[in-house]
Amino acid sequence: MRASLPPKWIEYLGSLPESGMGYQRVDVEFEDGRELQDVPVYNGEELDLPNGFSAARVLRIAIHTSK
Amino acid sequence: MLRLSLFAQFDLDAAPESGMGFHLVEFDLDRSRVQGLALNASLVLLESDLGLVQERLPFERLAKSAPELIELANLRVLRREHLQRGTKLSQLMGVRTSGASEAPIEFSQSGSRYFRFSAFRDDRRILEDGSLRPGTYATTEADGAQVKTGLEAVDRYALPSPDPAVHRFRIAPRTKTPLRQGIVQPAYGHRGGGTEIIFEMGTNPGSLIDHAVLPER
Repeated sequence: MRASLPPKWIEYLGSLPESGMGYQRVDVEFEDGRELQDVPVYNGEELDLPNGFSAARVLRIAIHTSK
Repeated sequence: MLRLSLFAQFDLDAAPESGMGFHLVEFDLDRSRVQGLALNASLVLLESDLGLVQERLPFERLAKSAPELIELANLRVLRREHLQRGTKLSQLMGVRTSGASEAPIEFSQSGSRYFRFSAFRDDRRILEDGSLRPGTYATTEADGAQVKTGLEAVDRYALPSPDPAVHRFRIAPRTKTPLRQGIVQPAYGHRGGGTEIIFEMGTNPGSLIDHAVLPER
């Protein structure tokens, strides 16, 4: 499921490097303590999330660093 | 295989060799930028001809089988590190293949152009002033010219989204723009194998020079 990120995260991702052409691989922490590793974000604005997660509840995003 | 005109031979004679008896060259052919191996400054082997080198056919025999003399538009001699990765020519020259993120910093050459493929017309990595943000990916013009559809771009650049990357942006950065160059590694069920470029510091304003829409498939 693709979810649009709130503007503050779109702005933040624009300041970070891409992982490939048109996407970033990120680790995401949510307000309820759950975490997702190595999730793609397309065009710095659309987060690919499994069901049951909300882009509006993102607490922290970081570029995924391992391969 | 192409036999060079006398004018083109003079140009190559005046240029330093890339190795003993050969030049690595790039030129325009049929509206694409093409790389090849020029032997004795007179005969150019294209990617499809390189098997002949491995067969060790004598130069005289190769020359006899070449077609008419031709002029090559915008001919220039390349350094090894500027060869398109993943090709027979780059393998023949011993150029290693790895992702751009692991490659050393190099700098764009005068007149070099690049393509960026995206599923989004409003690509957020391209700013209103026509510059690219730092850390933005693209490919070389020669590599991107092989991509004819949005789905081919998805496969060649191993993109995670299945959406056809139909928007093709052409980038002409200033000379000596820092970048890293490598080969897209297989991922997300795609082959990869295209050339990838990271503009470490982004590009200058006005470097976006055009946009085209490719067919989806």
